[in-house]
Amino acid sequence: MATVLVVDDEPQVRHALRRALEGEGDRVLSAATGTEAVDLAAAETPDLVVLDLWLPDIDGVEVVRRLRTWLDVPILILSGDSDTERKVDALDSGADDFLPKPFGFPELTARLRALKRRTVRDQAERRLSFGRLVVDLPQGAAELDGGLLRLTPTEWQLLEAMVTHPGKLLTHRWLLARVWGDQHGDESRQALRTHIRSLRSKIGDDAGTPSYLRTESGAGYRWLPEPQRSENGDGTQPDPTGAAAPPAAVGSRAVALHDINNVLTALHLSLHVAIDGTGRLAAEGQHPDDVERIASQLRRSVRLVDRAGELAQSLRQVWHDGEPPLDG
Amino acid sequence: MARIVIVEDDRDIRELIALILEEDGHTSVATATGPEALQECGHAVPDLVLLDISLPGELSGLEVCRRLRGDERLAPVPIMLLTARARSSDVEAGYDAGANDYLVKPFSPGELLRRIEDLLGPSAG
Repeated sequence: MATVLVVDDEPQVRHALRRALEGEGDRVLSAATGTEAVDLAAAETPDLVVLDLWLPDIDGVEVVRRLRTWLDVPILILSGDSDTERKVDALDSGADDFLPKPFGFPELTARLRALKRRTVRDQAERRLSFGRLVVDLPQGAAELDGGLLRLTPTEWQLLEAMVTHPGKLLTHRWLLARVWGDQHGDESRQALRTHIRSLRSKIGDDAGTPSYLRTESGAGYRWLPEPQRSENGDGTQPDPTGAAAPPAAVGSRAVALHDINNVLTALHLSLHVAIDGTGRLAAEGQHPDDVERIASQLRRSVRLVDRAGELAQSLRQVWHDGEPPLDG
Repeated sequence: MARIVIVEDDRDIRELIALILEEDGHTSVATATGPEALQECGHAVPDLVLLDISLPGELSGLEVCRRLRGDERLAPVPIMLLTARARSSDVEAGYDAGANDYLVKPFSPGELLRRIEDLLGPSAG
């Protein structure tokens, strides 16, 4: 199932597209204006966008430009025969394909299927599978046997460096520069060994008989397996039980994002509870329990804001993609 | 008034949801892990389960969902997933695992209570 955002100002077209796409098993969101489309895309992050160029408020080409500042999903343009120049503008602005009006629904659904396949293929190339271990690079996520791998920022950086250079000898110097920067000192070499040992333990590897990570004595480390392609087409291994895949476990970057989201969720709820409490105070008069409840939520909120600050620092630390040269 | 099992590893969120449910007249049981949640649901069938998708340990939220659906007594209990992931593949995996609805974090107390009311139906309000 994909979520498709349909943007067209004609209700009949939206209705017909909804019926056709739902018939394909898709979930359909629809918008009648460009503004509504941008808002809906921001709120729901669709997997595909079908966009008419003629909209009552914003020009369709401008909608493509706005969406493309942050949304990386296929956009299919619906356009009349007289729109050649604007069609080109839309494609130049980041649309992926166009379909001239009038069109038949079999053609529309076939185009959308092709766009979906392309998306799955793109994602698969960035989700690497090594048997029991799956590393999702864009998500900053790693899972072992479907279980949550909670890696430290340094462990994630090491894992990411290694899985993206399979089979290659990665010297101590290269790994140190990549993870600690050019200013690393001798003490970092010992730290590297410690982090490698911890990473090995988390991914279930044995230094004596390694399946993943081999120590090249005196030189560095080598990631042994090549990523495998699966029959699922999404980089995952086929599940013999037929069960749905577990959620991607998170590596350091995703852990930080996940934790920040949790902090914000708690902060949001805590402030709402405090605000509701003040509403009751105003309506029903002061009661010691209510006052304490509000104070307790405000103390919690302060703690959560502090925690968010720490997480932001941690995220800043992991959110760099320095690519120092390999020095063999 | 409904009996709701909360499954959420984040202590603040767990406590706050319990507080919000209590203020709305529900009773809740707060659990932090999949095994704890399954044990609690096995002990007394709840009216609803609020289930975080990203649980630590061996049992993910989706696996807990599947196990609840696989239990004859618990299969009819509505399950609402709490997730930071709004991507359709995650939502699809949630529905495939048997969830009835999902709520994307961060959410407001009002949204949480409205969605719970929808799942419980008018008689449970």
